[in-house]
Amino acid sequence: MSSTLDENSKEKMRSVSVDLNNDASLLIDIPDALCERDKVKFTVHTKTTLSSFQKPEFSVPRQHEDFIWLHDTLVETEDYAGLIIPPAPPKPDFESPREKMHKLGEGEATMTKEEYTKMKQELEAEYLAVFKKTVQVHEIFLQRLSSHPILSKDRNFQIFLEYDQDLSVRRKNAKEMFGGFFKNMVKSADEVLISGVKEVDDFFEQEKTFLLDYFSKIKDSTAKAEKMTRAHKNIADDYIHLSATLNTISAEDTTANKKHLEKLSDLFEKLRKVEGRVASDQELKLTELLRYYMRDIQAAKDLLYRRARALADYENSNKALDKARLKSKDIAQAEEHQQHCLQKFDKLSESGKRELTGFKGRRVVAFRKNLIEMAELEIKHAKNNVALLQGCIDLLKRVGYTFQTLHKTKCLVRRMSSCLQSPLSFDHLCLTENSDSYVFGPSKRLQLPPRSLSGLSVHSSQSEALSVRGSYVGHGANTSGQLEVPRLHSRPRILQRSEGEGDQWKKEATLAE
Amino acid sequence: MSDRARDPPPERTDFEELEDADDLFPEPAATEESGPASLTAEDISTNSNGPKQDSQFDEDPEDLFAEATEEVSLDSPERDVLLSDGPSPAITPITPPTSVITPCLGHDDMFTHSSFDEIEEEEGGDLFDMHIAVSDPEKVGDGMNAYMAYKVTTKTPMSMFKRGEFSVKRRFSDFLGLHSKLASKYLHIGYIVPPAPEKSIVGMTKVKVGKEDQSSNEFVEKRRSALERYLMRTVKHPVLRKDPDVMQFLESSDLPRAVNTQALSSAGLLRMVNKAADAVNKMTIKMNESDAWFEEKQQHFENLDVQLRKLHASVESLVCHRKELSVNTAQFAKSAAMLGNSEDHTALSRALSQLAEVEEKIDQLHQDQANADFYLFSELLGDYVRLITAVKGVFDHRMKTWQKWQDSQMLLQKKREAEAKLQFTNKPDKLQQAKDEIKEEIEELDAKVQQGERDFEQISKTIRKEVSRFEKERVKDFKTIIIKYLESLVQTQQQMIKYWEAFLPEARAIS
Repeated sequence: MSSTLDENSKEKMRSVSVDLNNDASLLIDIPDALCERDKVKFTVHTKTTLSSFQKPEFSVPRQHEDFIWLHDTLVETEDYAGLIIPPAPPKPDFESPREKMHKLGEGEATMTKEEYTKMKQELEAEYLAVFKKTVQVHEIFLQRLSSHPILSKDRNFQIFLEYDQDLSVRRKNAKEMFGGFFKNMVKSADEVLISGVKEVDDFFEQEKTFLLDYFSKIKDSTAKAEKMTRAHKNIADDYIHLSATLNTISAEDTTANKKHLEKLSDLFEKLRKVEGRVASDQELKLTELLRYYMRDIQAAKDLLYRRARALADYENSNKALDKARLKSKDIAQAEEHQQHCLQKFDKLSESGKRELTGFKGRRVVAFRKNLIEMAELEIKHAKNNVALLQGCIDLLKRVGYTFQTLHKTKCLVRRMSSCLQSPLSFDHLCLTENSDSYVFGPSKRLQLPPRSLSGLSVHSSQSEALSVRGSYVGHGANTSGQLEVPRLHSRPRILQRSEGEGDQWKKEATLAE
Repeated sequence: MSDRARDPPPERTDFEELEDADDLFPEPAATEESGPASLTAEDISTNSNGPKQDSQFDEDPEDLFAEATEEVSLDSPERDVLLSDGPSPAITPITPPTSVITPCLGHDDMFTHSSFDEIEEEEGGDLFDMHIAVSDPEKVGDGMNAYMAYKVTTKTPMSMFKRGEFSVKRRFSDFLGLHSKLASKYLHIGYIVPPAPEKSIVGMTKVKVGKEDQSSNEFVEKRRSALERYLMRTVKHPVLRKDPDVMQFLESSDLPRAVNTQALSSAGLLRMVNKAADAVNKMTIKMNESDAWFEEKQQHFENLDVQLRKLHASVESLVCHRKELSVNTAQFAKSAAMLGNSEDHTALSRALSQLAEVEEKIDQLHQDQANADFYLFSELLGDYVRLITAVKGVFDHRMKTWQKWQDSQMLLQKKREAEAKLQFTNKPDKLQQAKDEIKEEIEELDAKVQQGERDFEQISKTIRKEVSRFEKERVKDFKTIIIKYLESLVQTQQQMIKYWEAFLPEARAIS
């Protein structure tokens, strides 16, 4: 399955990190991606004005593993030890929708055809959402690299963007060079080293405490947010079943309930769409935000770790220098080594400070943007829900009303015509419809007898009443009257009496509210 | 209303159908003439719609004002005679009974002229003004002999009760006892007796043991609500309402304890055996359905049963998921609060704490909504699933009645054949005696057959009325409750809007 993502949707998605891809000298995006079984093939498209590239515009196909390779090489590069390397994009995970699709296939027999189709649509939408998310995450990774003043100039980065052949050869070399197990060892020593080394700088001390704590909290929040989103999705699915069953019942129903049930079924169908959107928006704005920054904080922690290691190296080199001085052997070498370590450490500290401050700023901005957007979307969806629900309630209340009232009006009209000594029966009146009123007019069969009801019209007025106006030609006089059928009442009342001779309406009681 | 225009089109078709419907406002002629109209109305009062005369909801074209209508052709000769009379009060349109959708406008605009109005008024106003509330569950006693006593309060202006408002204490087995009495009296003649709430040994044991926790509170509330609905449905039934057992149940402070309702009693076992026997019988009876109406209705109820069960299951799943959502939201709220605490940027920290608060409030919203889902929607469906079982039971009784009739007919046939055979025997001494015997038996059986036929016709007639009443009730019930449920959903969403709108400036304040 391939999908082309338009600018608009990408713009919306690219919200976890702001200020990306603004520098015209190097613009990267992923306009296209193909999904084959488990593998996703991304098309990385670059537009650049930099002379370091061979062409001003080009595209290459890349796999997820290529991104990981790029990330790893950047991490292992000594020169970048003082930088926060943007976190690697997570592997595309279609497990969840695939599992659901499987379950759906098994349960197919228990559902109606419509239900099955709808559930399938939902799942396909979910699949698509996972797909879009993974594209977004890979894109953001590249864009962060391109917007970093130092990292964007990395040679491997350039190769990644430009090399028009398969990178797997290079990847294999890299793996052999660095060895996967080395990385793992480093990772496990992470916490121990950070907490073990004595910190000389207040700033870093604070950052360390903060990041360690924050990381565990944000990890927890991400997990909880995910559960919340999933519960929302479940509710949306339930609405599908409700809607389908209501539909079946209404199809077989012959009573007045039929209309109610149809409307209700329709309502739930609409509600579930809104609920689905609530779930996906929450996912995007909240869960994704938390997830992304969780990974980013891990990258920041890595920076701290590298710095701590450099500090440890420096301290070791100091000890070695002292020892050398004591033994009076290899002093120069030790001194040089110590200087080297100090330099490295200082460099790391300096760039680390810069990076971490920048990181905080970035984080605050991103949170602000996402929280605002999420709140706005929640409000929008809730308002939508209210409108849908209120509309249905009104319809339900009115379905009975209109039907009833107009029927009553008809009967009343019939009686009026009889009271007015008209030999007309109701058959002689027919119903036509204007935009907001019904007009009862004489039908073609009519031969106007001397006394006749020449026409009644029903209008709806601002006061939400139906009024029936009629003119009655009888006893040689023209009379007219107005009958108002208030909207919410079920009783029509005569409001106005008519003039004219022999007119019975005079006797009617006029009822005021 | 901007969408007023939308309404006409769908109603159009209904219009055309209605052209020949009964006149809502019967010729006053009828009432003027005499009593007959009033009598008819009186007679039909037993058939009237249930509570709060919602003729507004009654969309059955035929029966719009069945109880109040006599079809009089406008061109009838009598009319002229009448109309030539002086001022006829009949001109005043007759008011249909009070609408209830807008109870605030409930004052009765009665045209007080014609006596016919009064009859309608009686049907509309007085007929169903009974209101029963079940409240104040109280635990009485201790240990395994403990039980919950509920206060049953009845408010009614109806004359057949001694007072207008009164209350008694009842326990669950009292309700079951009432139901079993009504069932034994009315089910077999075709009345749909509302089923009582189900026993729950697990639930009650928890309560008895004294666990004062969330689940036992919920259980008691669920039961209380079910008992209230049960009583309301029972008294809505025009025949059951007047039953002395019902009146005794509602009124008298002392009620003989209904022991037969215990699940493990001998009566209970007997019931189970009977049920099994019935099930077997049902399979063996093959009825010649002469009346297509019954066949159609039976099919209809079968289908409805299946669909309602499915719907019920979906709603239960919805309740479950919403509860889950509420729990997850609460957990997230806590986690967000902790995150806010650990955040060192002050504005963001505050915003995160606010987010945590909002989510906590929303979790409460979800919880409340789940309750509404349950008590309104899910319980409604559950009730109707059980009601439809009762309806099917009534149809089964009709079959049994038919069977009885057929059986006696067959027996009669056999006896007649035996009689005929006797004519040809050669034992003159025994003959006369035998003949007399057989004649007696034949007479008996004949009476039985006739009774059987009458019973069958009666039950068929009753069932027709009952089913039509049931369907009307169902429509009304569903509509009222669905509207309530939707309104609860609206409430939830509106609250959500409020919460998020309060949060928005906080989020904006992050610098």
